[in-house]
Amino acid sequence: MDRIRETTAKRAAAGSAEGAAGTTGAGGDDLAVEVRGLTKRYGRFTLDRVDLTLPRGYIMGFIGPNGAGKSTTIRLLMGLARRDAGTVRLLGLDLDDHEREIKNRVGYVGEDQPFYEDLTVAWTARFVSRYYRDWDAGTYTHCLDAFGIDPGKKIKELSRGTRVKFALTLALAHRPELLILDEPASGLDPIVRRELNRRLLSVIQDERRSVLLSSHITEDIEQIADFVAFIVDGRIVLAGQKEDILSRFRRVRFPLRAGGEGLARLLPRLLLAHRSDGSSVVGITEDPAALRSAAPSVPIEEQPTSLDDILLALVKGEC
Amino acid sequence: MLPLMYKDFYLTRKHLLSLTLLGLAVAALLGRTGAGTTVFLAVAWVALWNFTARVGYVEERNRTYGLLWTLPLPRRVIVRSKFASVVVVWAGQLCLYALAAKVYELVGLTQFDTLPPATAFFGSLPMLVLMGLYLYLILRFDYLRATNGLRFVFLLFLVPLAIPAGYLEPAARWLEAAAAHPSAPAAGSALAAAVYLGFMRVAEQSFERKELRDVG
Repeated sequence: MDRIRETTAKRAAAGSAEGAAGTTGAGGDDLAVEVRGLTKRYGRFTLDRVDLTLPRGYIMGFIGPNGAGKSTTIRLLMGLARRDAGTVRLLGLDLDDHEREIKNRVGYVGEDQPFYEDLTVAWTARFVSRYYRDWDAGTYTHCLDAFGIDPGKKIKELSRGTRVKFALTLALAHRPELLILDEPASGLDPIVRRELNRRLLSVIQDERRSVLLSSHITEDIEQIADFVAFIVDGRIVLAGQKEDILSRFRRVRFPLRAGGEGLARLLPRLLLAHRSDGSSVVGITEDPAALRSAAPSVPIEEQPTSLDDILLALVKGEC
Repeated sequence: MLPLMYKDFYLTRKHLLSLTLLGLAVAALLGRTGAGTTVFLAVAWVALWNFTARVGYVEERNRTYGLLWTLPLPRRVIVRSKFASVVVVWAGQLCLYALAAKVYELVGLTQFDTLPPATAFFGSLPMLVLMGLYLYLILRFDYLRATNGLRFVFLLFLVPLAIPAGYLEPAARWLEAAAAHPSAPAAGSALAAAVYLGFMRVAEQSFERKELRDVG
């Protein structure tokens, strides 16, 4: 929550960052991530003209169900796959022209942590450190200690959680300005995931560092992100500041009696998703005011919603 | 590039060392038969093939292109490091061979049967070129398809056995004359180097287009 409060204050001071996440926003060097019209086709799957912008110093949660295109987008940002169309600029630099410089300044942790299984943690770190201009041995040692990783262990002896922590250590040790995390907690049990999130939160507190974190586990994003972008079937369906989105989307409940039947006919237009038990309707709406004005006599209960509710409504039309 | 090469040697060190020691042991055991160093050369070729296969396979097995591609280095450096490592092993094995032949000569063991190092060098050039092809296939496709491809190429070498000797005689005469020409060693070396570098170049191009293919 501290992070959110700090971010909110910073955002208020910055002013110009308002609305920067999503399809429009500031340009050039103020942006950590600037993606325009990113397109990639793999057989029947299409990543369709994805636009993303993230101002420097903020955390963006990239949310979507499995197979929605999160990993594909991130692989395209990291140059691990080749895009069919679109432009990618990271830290103000074009990916095509400055891939090496960008990789020097970006830390990446993928869904898998591909390491040489027969090598030790220390050997791997020595090997990786040779390629980074700003490798900081102090940060590396500090993270290793903080995560409790034994440098003498072979990679194949590490648990899934420790592998993620080691990958995060390597990503942080060259002091990246932008950290890109592609579902790092995927496949971990809730306890390890919570611990990883706690660690993650502490290491990304640096206000100058930007973070793009993809996950299908919305609780993780809800805890730490300043901005969120929802991707469904290869398309960005919603993007913006997390607080704005959470305040805009509401969970509503109203009875079907007392005029509610008339309102029910308007549901597909007014509600993103809804269900009815015969006597009342529960739904998610982006515009509670429109709902109230459509049926002023109907008592409508309004409750805050979560990113998980929104994702479910966007993907499956369920609530 | 050196850390990448060092990594390849480090990862394959046990196999490389055991095959080299095996070659030396066989060479020593067969010394009196006159075939010791020749056998060593054959084992060296096997070691070279094994090394080439492993430097390609180890990346696939560990999926470590996903690590290497995130490092701030051009992809062509990864390809060049592998081709350079193979040359180093090839040259190292030849040096060992030359050393073994010298030892044989010094201790008076069948020096007249031992292949001169220069002959071993020229005899090994096609093997180096084949390993260039193998690496290209590994980097272009994958280890399994590359290995099958190389086996097919080896099978092609058996084709002349099925052709009546008379048909091959002109080609054999031409090869003999070409080998006897004073410029043959230099031209042969240059040709092998050019083909090897050619494989490296096309491997760089196809490696540049490679991508991690998981969708989602």
